[in-house]
Amino acid sequence: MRRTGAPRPLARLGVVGLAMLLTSCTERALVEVDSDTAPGQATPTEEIEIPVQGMISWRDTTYSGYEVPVTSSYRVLTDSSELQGRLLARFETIPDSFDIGTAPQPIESYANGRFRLIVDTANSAIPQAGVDVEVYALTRSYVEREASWTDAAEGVPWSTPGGDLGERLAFGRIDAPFDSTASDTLFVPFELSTDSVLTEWAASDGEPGVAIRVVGSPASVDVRFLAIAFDVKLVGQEALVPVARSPAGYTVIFDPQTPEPGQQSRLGGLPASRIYLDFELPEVWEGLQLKGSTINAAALVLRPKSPPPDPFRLGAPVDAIAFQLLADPFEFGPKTPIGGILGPPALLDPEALVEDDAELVLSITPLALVWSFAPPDSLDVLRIGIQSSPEGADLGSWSFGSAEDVSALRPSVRMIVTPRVPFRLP
Amino acid sequence: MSRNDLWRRRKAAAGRTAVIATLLALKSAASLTAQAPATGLGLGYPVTPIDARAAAMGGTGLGLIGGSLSSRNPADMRGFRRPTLGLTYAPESVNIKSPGESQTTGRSRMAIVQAVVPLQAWTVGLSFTSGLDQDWGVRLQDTLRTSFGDFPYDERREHDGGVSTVTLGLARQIGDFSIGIDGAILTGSIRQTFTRSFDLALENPSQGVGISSGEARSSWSGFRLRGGAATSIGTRVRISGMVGISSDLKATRDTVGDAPTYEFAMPLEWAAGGSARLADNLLASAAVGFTDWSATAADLPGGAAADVLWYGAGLEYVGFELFGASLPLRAGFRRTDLPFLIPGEDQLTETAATFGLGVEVGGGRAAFDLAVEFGTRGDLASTGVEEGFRRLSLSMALLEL
Repeated sequence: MRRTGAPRPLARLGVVGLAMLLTSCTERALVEVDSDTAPGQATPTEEIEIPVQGMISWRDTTYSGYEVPVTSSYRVLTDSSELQGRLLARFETIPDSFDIGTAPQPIESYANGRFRLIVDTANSAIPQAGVDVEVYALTRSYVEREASWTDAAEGVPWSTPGGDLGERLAFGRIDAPFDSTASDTLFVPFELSTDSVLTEWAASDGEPGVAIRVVGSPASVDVRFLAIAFDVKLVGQEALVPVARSPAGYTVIFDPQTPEPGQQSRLGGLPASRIYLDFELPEVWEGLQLKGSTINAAALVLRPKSPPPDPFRLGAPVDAIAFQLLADPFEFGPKTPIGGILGPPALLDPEALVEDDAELVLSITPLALVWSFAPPDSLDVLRIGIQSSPEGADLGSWSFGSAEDVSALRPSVRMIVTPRVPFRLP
Repeated sequence: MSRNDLWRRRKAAAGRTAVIATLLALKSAASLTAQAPATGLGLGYPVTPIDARAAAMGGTGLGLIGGSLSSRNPADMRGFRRPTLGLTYAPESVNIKSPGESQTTGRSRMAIVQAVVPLQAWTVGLSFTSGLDQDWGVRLQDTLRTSFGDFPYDERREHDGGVSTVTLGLARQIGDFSIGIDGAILTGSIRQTFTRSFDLALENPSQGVGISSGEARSSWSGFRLRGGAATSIGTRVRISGMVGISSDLKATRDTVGDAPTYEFAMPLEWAAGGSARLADNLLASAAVGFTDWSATAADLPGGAAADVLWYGAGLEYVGFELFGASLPLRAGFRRTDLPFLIPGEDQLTETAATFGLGVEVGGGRAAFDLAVEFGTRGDLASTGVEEGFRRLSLSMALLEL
């Protein structure tokens, strides 16, 4: 066979087309049982795994704060040696008048105040002896986005860690077992005068708020919903009108605080952590052409480290999701804009994560495929973020090996690759 | 290579990243074995440009008394006294043998479309003919085993296309001889495709991997010149001979590929034959030819080619009538070497017994001819390829346009 580089002249379309139409042949495909003996040209489909050190470049980091207590669904009241957790709430919308259809009528007094809590009994742990639920008036206001176990606001520490508690406003008790078949709603009635408390809140927009805690170690009560219910007596009216209000701003504070991730590659927790990374794939890996090949499948493989200490060990399975990052995460930091999800979620199962050779495998196939066929220099660096889902719903997290860890814990990229068929003639 | 050999491990640098990989061996033509169809060898299967009458008489078509809408020899166009248009459609059923089994498939070809116009002492002809049939397809099924899961897959490898000729011929009567020349454009294209479609993972139906596919298209181009002569000996015998040469057959890649152009040497060819009227109602024909395909061997990496000698003979008996029209019956035998073979194996030979009949309608203004061939090509043990075939050739001709 001789090859030349001569340019091809334009096809002689008319006569060639007629000739091909007249002489076209059809044939039913033969079914072969052995690719080794089948005619024609194919190309191997191979699975490869590229470790961090095989990449042209690799960077990974962990950013936190995507979900914080005030934005998360974590509403757990806890009383144990390992974890204390309280709910801070403020009822800013206590009415001082009531519209009964004609004109607003001023409220003469408030009565029968009680806090209403809807408890997720499946995620709660109530000791055999039961648990007390206490609502205290705070003596110091808090900023919900900044409040923590030690601080009411940034730079403003509580006098007493866990909140500056004043008088106990309300008290209730949850007996074990909690009869969730009857109702999952717990009413905690006021111990103090409803009228005096709510009158004060109506005047102060709920300031400084309340703290709700449980007493009965080791107790854990997952509060799905919180409101205050009470009756009002309107001026000139005898009948009481039932009213309910939700807190305008509430958060949870807990002790100890979630430790900073430091050099860990961490997923989950509260504040929620994400792993952000970028890397450059080699165009050729161990003689196998990657660039320009079909990437049938590609996955980012993370290897779990030892479980975090309680109470920050992931308790229940959650999902992990990989998504594309649209900018350099090492320049834009936690606020790096994110793109589409790269694949189905992978299960982050705490029981499986402790097994030998456990892996978290996250599909990145769409991104790898785009990289393979991208024009030169158009998509050199693949940028990926990984988050837990749901995010911030639990204090638990898990850490994975990063590029700085020992080789057995380092991440890698696993791919199924089919190089281009050369299609030689004949 | 055994099935297990198809699996290969690729060990990454990290200590725990050894993974299992599947390797579907990329085979060159050199390793084609029993499961290859004849159209998948070398440049394909050469299609004989003859009509059904010639096919029924042993595939001759040279110096055939009564005229033949074959394209064996341009000088034979002088056999037509009136403008004539004919076409021949030649599908065949093929039984491809492989160790322990056989599969049936089919091929269809428009073997030749030819128009002949006599202009006093001259005759002009235009024909479209099949040259090399490169059409074939295979389908494989296997399972890709990876750490992502085990994925059953269906793989298809197909070649679709071939080389055709567009021939313009000219013939003239000079004394007792008909002299003819023609020039042909070798044209056509070939589309090579590869598709590997994966099912969802056996263990986890939510896990899938993407399809692998590729395609290349190339166009064929080249030229061929032929010259021939024919003459009658008395009133009962006509003989004919032809010689032809071709330029290289050039394949130009229309899609992005590693090699933009391939060139293949095309053979010198000659053929001779004739027919004799043994009796008023019995015609005999015979022909022999040679094609120098071995010259192409050097251009076939991993392939092989050899010279082709072909011959055939047949009889036509005109003694029956159908609705008042003559109903000639024909029979014959032919043998031909095939040019492309598996390296290290013997050259394929094709033999066939041929039968046919014809009928003229409209007072001789149109004719239909039918030929049936039963034959084999190759031998599994010695050539690595074996096909049994039944070919039906159907010619329709308008004889007095």
